[in-house]
Amino acid sequence: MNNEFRDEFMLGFKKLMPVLPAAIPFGMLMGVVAVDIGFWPSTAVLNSALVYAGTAQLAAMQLIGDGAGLPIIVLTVLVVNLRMMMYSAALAERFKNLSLRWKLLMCHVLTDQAYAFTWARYEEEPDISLDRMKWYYMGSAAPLGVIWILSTSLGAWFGTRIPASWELDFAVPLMLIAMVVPNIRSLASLTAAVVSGFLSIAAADMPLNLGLVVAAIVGMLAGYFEEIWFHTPKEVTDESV
Amino acid sequence: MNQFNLVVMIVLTAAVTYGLRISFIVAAGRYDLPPVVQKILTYAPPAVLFALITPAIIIRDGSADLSLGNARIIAGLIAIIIAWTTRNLFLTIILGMSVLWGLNYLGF
Repeated sequence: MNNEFRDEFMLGFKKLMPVLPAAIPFGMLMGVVAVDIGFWPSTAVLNSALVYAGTAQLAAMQLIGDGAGLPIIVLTVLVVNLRMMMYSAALAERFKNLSLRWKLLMCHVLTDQAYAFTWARYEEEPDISLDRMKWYYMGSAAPLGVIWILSTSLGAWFGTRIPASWELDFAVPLMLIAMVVPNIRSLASLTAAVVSGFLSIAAADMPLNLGLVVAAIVGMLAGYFEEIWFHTPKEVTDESV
Repeated sequence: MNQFNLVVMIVLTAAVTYGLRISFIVAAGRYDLPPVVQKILTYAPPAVLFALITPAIIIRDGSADLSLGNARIIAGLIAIIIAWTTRNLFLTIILGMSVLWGLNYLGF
């Protein structure tokens, strides 16, 4: 790595710095919760290292606690992480000349933050070379992965000592609330949340946790229809094209 | 779930997640979801996550408990208000847990 690339890496890392203080306790709590519901500390760390997606990991934890089966867990993780596909689509054209090795490496650390930082950099400097960009990307993405794994390990090893009376399983819905509620900024997403929440209780007795699937699908549709029925369809008009 | 099943779950969810991450960047051919489907999927986070959050708060020992004796309802509502107004991850979790512990201590 020559100096220019090291500078790019550090520039990305500086962007990432403000995110790190929040990631550490979040990762620790993830480790604590995982051990609380039956992971070994080693498998809890494996989970953070391989999946590396906080919200999806939490969703899986909640479902394991509920006694759900594998198909529902995998399906839920798929839907929660669908936004990764949108990021992948948005970056594909920019990254198309990278070597496969770089692509595979960069994709593993693709997160909301990495996408946001990369996109912002391209806005600022549209002509930046791909060689510089890949180091900037790694600087703004990879350290978060390292911190995520380390903080999960820390939490997983401490977590074995927490008594059940602390009701730590409640931390999972609280973390999910903390992650999703601030992003509910339209009547349509509020509709999706409320409809889905209501149905998840009404359909709670369905077998195989299918209530979750029904609630989520109807919730999504409710949000969509709220948007197209009650709001001037600005972007929606291009659907007819 | 036993440890073996947990590892299977980790491998499968990791594969799905990685598959989504590499979907467009690694796959050469261009493919696209229909715009309507994309639009509907923008509501996936609130819909899916609230389908997980709500039962975690309301369902106690296998059935819905909407009584005041269910301390999680009050703690959850306070957490939602805090998350909405402050957008602060830690304040939400710490105050939510504190309210639950406080109410349990008071005998709810």
